[in-house]
Amino acid sequence: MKKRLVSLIIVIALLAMPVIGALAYVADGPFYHIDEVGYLNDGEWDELAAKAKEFNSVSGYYTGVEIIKSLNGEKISDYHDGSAFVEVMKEQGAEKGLHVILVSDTASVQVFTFGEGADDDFSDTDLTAIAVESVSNMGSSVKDLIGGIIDGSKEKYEETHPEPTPDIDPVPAPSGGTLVFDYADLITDDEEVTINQMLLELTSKYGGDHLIVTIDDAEGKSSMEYADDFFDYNGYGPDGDLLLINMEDRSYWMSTTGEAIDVFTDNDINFIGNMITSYLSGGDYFGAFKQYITMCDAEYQSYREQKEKEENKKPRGSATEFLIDKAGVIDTATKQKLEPLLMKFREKYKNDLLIYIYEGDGYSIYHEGSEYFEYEGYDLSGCVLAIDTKNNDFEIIKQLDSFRALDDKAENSLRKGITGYLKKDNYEGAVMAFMNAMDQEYSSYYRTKDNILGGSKIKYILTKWWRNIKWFVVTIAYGAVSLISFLVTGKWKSDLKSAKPKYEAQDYISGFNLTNSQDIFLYSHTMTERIVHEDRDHSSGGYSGGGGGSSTHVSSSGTTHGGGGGHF
Amino acid sequence: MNNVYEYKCPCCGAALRFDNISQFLKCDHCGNSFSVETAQQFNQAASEATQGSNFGWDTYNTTNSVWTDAEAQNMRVYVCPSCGGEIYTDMTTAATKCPYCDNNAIIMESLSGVYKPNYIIPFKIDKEEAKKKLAEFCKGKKLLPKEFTSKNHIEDLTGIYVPFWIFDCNSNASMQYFGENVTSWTTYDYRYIRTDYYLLKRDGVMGFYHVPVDASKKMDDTYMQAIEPYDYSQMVPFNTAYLSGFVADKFDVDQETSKQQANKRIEVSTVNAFDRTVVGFTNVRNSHTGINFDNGQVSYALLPVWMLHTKYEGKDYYFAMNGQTGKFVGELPMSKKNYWKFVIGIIGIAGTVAGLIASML
Repeated sequence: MKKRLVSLIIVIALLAMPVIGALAYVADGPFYHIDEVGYLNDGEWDELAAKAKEFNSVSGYYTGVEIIKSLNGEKISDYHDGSAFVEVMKEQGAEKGLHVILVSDTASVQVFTFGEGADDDFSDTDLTAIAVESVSNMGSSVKDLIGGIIDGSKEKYEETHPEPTPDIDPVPAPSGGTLVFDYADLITDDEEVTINQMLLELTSKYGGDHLIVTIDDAEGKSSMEYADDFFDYNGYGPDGDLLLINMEDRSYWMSTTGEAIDVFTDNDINFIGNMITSYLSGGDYFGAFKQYITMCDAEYQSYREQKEKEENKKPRGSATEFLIDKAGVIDTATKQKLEPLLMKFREKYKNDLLIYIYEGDGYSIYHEGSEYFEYEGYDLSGCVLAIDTKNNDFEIIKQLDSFRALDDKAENSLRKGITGYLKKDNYEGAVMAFMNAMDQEYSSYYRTKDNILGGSKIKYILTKWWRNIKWFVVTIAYGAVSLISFLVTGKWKSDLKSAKPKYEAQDYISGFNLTNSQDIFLYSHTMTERIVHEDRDHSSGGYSGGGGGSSTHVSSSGTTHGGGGGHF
Repeated sequence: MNNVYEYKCPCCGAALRFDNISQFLKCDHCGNSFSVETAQQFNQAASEATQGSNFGWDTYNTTNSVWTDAEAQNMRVYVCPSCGGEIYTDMTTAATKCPYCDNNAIIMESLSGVYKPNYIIPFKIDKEEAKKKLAEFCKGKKLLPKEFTSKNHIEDLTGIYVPFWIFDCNSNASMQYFGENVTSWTTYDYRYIRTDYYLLKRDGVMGFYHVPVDASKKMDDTYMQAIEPYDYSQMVPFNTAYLSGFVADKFDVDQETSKQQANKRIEVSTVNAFDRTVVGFTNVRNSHTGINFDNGQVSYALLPVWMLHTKYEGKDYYFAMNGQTGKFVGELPMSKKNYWKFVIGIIGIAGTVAGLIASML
């Protein structure tokens, strides 16, 4: 709970005020009040309620006024923190609000704010100034004091939140429910109705604003700027996307805002862009828009599904069931026998084995098995045996450690074994074969791993290395020996014949006299080659990366957008 | 104006122009410039390079080499009717077999068409030594069939004076080479490769003394070259007395044919010797070879050779030994059985061992 405290001790002429117990609060729209003392009558409260409504219409703030007799020694900030009154206001829908406390016996007034963002709207000094001003103008009326606080807050709020003044020629305001703005007149009115209907469906399915705008003249802005400004200055948002077709330079730009930045990655935007470019280039704008909306729909849907999955993801290691039989091929007795064994595997190796038996429904068996393992609370590391009883297929899906524990050779022989059992519909046998093989492979894997940790890492690496190259080395050595044997016998063969012809007369040289030896330099020639240095720096343009979604930039109104575009 | 075109550019062959400012000859075609001296040397070398090789020999004068009557009477010539081989020897020696084909029926004829040799090197090594050399030659030959040595019988062992043309000359060579020296260096942005081009001239003379060329068609040239060289310090003027106990072969390869062989051998040795004087260059290319022989003299000499002939499994095997130095050459039969036994044996054993080692590791 956010609070801002102005501690201001004031002297108010509260003499001879009748004391009436009034513990229940009174609500009037965004205005709530409790009066323990009975300073004000109903008419005065109605006046204050009108001020509070005005303040609310400007800022969205609720106003709560509490007049209490005494704090009974409690600190006023603690009283605010523990106020049931504020809680009631919040329950009634107050996202943020003003909490004014008047304490009768100390003759003091304090102003608090609560709710998200209230800190940014009113600083400590702001609240002090409002209170001081109100007190100095109050005269002797408590009504004027409270009214002054509400008005002062409203003025302060208006001061810090000016109405945005658009710096572009105002675009005709969107009429209710219109999401297509075909200024360039690229599609017919009937088509416009169809596209608009499709965009409205997007909104009803996923919320946010989904716009398509076509223009002939970008008013000197880039497509990106125009698209972002159109979205910002026409009151759309905070979530949504906009496709701008700019016929001035035949470019398009897809601008994303808010949640849409996360929905569409740069890749998605590129992909969508590529898909619609062919339509755009061919002048089929109606086709392009339909394609665009269909793809947006798919992106939103998969984003939401993924998000939902992530939200519902169970914590690692929380799963207690390892044999999931959605196809109903394993009876209860067998399941009761197998589950403890699978649990034992977890305890022994800190790895989970999941047997996932289901009836295929279109997704790949690998997808089904790994998704279940990922989201249903299994360990990060382990192995899945997924069996699709509808398509008579199965898959062994390895996660982390099992990649190293179960090598290709072991996996192939395990596959053969499982195939054999499944052909005879012996699911229990298949599961047992899987479990036994995994137990064996894990135990030998951990033994080796322990050996490595035990200090003989180099030996282990050498052994492994030698095992890989052993046959290669032996083959080379054998080849070398064979070659040598041919060379040796070849030499023996040539030894048998010793008569060799002579082509020179070296033995008969009786003298050599070099009479002239000149090295005459003629000329030289120098070649030059340019050395190409690898460029190590790759700049990524002017965008800052956005985690998970697309890269983003900030538009003229200060809103963050994602997006991408191109020419057609 | 100094645009007088006199010399050709060593780089591209275009005409060079004298540049009176730099005092160099410039090539307008390829941009190189040369000192006048360099251009002169190059162009002179180029003109020299048009002269080819010339092998000048005196001729062995047959008219001065006839036998005296006394000598002729003391000589006998035998002709083999089977192979056509002709040999001669002195009266005291009775040739009974043709040394080439083992034919016993050889016909004695009177001396004619045989020229008198200038020189002779007498036999130094006897028959027994030749037999020993053969035994030594057979030793340690793994592929030689065992039966060849155990059942060894030398069919025929004949000492023959083989006729040789002996050539002496001075070989004058004028060689030209193009040399290239390549150096390279790099800066941060560029790699430089510089090539310096040189014209290399080598002139000189080499003496060749008594290059022998086999003048008998019956004798295998390769065998005769293989038993070279002879020690000419023991060479003496011919005397019929040396023929006693040996036969001599008639020359039937004329000196013109033999000259071709001698030229080739002398030329190869000359070029090799000059090539070795060109050192210190990255690349060298011979651009011109001009060889002139002078003082070329041809003589006719008889050189001593032991010829061994043996038969194994119906095939003839010949061996030759230098009758002066004992250098022994020849060809022994090969046992194909032994050959494959070794090859397959080694490969097989190696394979088994390799397999065993690999499976144990």
